[in-house]
Amino acid sequence: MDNILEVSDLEIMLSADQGTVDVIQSVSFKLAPGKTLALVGESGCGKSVTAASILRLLPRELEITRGSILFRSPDSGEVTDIAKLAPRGSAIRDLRGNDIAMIFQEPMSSFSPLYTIGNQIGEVVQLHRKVSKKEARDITAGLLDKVGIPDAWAAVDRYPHEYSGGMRQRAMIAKALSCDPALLIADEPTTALDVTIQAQIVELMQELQQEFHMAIIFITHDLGVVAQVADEVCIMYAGRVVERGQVRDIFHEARHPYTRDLLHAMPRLGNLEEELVAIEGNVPGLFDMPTGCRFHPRCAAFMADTCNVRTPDLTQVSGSHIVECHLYD
Amino acid sequence: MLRLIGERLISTVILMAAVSVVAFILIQLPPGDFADSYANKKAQGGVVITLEEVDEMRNKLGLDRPLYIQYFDWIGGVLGGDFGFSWEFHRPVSDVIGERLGLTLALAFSTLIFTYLLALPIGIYSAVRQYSIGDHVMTLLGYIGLATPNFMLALILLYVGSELFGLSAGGLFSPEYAEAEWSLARFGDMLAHLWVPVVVLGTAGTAFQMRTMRATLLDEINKMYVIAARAGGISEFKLLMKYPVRMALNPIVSTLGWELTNIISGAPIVALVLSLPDTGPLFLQALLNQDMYLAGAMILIYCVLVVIGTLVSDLLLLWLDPRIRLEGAR
Ligand SMILES: Nc1ncnc2c1ncn2[C@@H]1O[C@H](COP(=O)(O)OP(=O)(O)OP(=O)(O)O)[C@@H](O)[C@H]1O
Ligand SMILES: [Mg+2]
Repeated sequence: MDNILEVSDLEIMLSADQGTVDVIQSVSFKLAPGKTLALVGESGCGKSVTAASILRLLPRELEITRGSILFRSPDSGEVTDIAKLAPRGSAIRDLRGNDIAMIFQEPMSSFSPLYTIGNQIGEVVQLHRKVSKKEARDITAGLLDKVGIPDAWAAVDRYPHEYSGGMRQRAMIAKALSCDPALLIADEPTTALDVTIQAQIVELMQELQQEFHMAIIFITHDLGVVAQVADEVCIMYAGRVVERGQVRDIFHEARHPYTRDLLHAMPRLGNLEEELVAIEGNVPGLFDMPTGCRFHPRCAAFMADTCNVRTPDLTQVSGSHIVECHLYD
Repeated sequence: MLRLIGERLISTVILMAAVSVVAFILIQLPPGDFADSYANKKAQGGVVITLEEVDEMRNKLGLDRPLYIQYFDWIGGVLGGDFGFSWEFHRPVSDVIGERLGLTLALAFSTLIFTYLLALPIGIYSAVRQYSIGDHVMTLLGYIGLATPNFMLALILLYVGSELFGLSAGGLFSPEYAEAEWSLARFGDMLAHLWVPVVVLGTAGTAFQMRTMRATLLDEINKMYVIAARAGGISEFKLLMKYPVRMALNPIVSTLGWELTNIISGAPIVALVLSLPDTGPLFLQALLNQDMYLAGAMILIYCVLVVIGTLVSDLLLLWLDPRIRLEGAR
């Protein structure tokens, strides 16, 4: 296996009072070392659940019921099926923060208010590296400096509420980088931030990716950011990957009607006067999934007796470009 | 930080002064005074006391002076360590209270320790194993604990204690130790009896704090900062203790003073039912007899305990939560 991550046929079920439903269904994607994969889709389509499952951080009511998540350690070359690990066991804990790190959407609440930033980053350093408390603190200060936090040696001893939102997200990135991970999962790292700060954070992540040579899974709503950072893109809808391919496949050769709608809904610099088209209708609820293709009630190319009956097969458009739609069956 | 502590201390002193005034007014509130109740008692015994005699007594005790003079006279003495004289016992108040106060304190603090030692681990367990059989059992016990009145629990435990364990009914000592000098054996005997009032006084608080711990922890356990910390690779137990439990201690600590208040205000009735030789029965008796200085001293001591409990809880909170600490520094 050359890829650092291969997710195949992943299914995640939710047990709720109303019964059991799938939240994620037949999700597959691959990621090569040092590359960036973007997961894109409307709110509630399962991006965060997919991301959390890679570190086995799912809440108790969500369970991986099928498929595999193969991770190849770049150091040893060993391949682990993360989907088979015990979610509270030591095997997954050795991966967390060490080989695979994660940053979250809300920098304001991703640190405990009760401990200094230095304490919380130093904790990860000490968990995975044989260093003393003092060395961990020095490493932490170095990391904070690297992610652009001014006066890093004093900032180590500050509490999260003394940091601004942007600074906290930088600290979060520093924490994620602390053990030189091979894979970084970034779940909407910029959504909660001001536009100007968003750009800075994206830029910082790109610089650091070069330097640390890590693969990144970048989750976002923002197709502009996708165009800027991603090598490959997965378009998700209602818990399924409906189209995936290289960036240029998606931006220039989009096949799935949903992908096309998303691209139409994207504001483009230069033609701001062009009217923005919102996609009609809403994402279906987990407990009233449409039969057949899950997008058919909102689809412009809806074909009666086909789309609402059968789930479409995967069609290979070109080498890496795959779409799941009856138009191409 | 120091300034914040200083502010708390000053406000505590002001609070104590206010409390002393309220305490004094409270003991004056019931109609009549010690002279009246003394005369009443004598009259019931068949002895006739003339109005002049009552007035003379009032004059001797200083009860005919204006209230504020009586107050300053009293509080002046208290500040100098003189709590006045108990007319009922014909001894200085400090002597009467002194021999019993130790037991009251022992009871209050044992109850506090019992409450938290039991409530915190059970609350944590219930939250982590939400909806497990253990959680359901603890929840049920908790509601029963909250709903059972103290006096009832006292009676039940008295019965159980004497029927099953052969404990002498009530009291804090077996008859052979009741009047004995303090010794290790007497101390052991006291512990063997102390658990009954501790359980009676502590059950409701334990149930309440357990529910608080469970509810707060359930709230915290799914917060982003916990998941983010888990993503760093920390073990589940360390994660639990360092992040959500530490956070859930805040509401627990801030109700410490209030918990102590509950214990102290519940103690006299329980002490009466269980006939404990502490300050509880003394207090009730002093109130009934209008033994003014004794009752005043007791109210004051109880209030001081509560105020100190609140102060301790404030200081603990300051120590626990950097947000409050740094707020004050600015
Ligand atoms: N703990 C949970 N309990 C019940 N349902 C959940 C839980 N977590 C996620 N879901 C459901 O799973 C689906 C996917 O959620 P997910 O958070 O992955 O969406 P998302 O694509 O990340 O959306 P967003 O862009 O809003 O972050 C949603 O329908 C959501 O309601
Ligand atoms: Mg999400």
